[in-house]
Amino acid sequence: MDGKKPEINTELGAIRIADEVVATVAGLAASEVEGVATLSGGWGTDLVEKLGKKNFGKGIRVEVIGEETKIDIYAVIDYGYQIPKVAEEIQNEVKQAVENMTGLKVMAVNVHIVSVILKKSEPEEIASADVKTEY
Amino acid sequence: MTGIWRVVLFFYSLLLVAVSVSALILAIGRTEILDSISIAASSSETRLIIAGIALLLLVLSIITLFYSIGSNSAPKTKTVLVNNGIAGQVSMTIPAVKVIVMKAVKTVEGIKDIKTTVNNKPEGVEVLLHTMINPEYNIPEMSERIQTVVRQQLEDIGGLKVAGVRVLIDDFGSAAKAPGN
Repeated sequence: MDGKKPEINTELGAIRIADEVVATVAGLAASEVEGVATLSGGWGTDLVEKLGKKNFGKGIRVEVIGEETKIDIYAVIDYGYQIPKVAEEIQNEVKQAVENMTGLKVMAVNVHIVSVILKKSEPEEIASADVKTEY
Repeated sequence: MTGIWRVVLFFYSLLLVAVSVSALILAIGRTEILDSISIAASSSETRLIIAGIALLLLVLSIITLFYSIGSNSAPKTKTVLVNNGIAGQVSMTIPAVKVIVMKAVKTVEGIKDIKTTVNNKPEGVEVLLHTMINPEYNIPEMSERIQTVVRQQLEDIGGLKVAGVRVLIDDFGSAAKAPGN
């Protein structure tokens, strides 16, 4: 997250919204989407979170270009879900949430799938197909 | 990495080369370098210069160390573009593609071990599978099954365009129990 803060100009003055706030809104919206296991903020952020500090904006990068905002989301998806559909839903939910809550114009929501993991609800189904445990 | 950091890293690497070469020269018994250092350290002016350079290098080392450990930004790895729509881009990292490939391959019976290489090409992703299989299974049939299931999973789950799935049988794994015995 860099550059100047997202800004909305009104007759009374400017409203500045910290990009961390935008990241938190985007992070919460993205986490709600079915098929999203978690958001990936890199090992440093994950380590800090394990130590107890919850970071809702992890795995989100907010970039301000003029009056428009570009959001990059780094997500881990549950195995079995169709990635293009999940990604599209993330894009819609995040765009809607950020625009509704902050009033900012979201130019693009780029979704980066960093990993695919097993769904917690059905580990046995996949584990039964484990290559090295057979024969 | 910005241009200025490339220059810093270049000089830092150059200095490491110089230190390594000096250490090698010392190791073969040539002590002229030590004499030169002793002469340089005998004067207070040169000691100050050495201290300045050492301080600068210390700062550079610490900055390089932090830079290498990484910042808060998300990880940067090779990615495959899934979709480039009006709402934005959707991309997937190569490790994520490999997970889908591995899950797909694990559904095929008779595979003992597998290593996956994924290349991103303009016509789609190309998957190379190095496999170790059970010798009791028919290789062409099994290879075809692997190719089909990998292509299908990448297209269905990943939404990726698959340029090709190449299967290479590296070795045969010994079967604990042969079918029919």
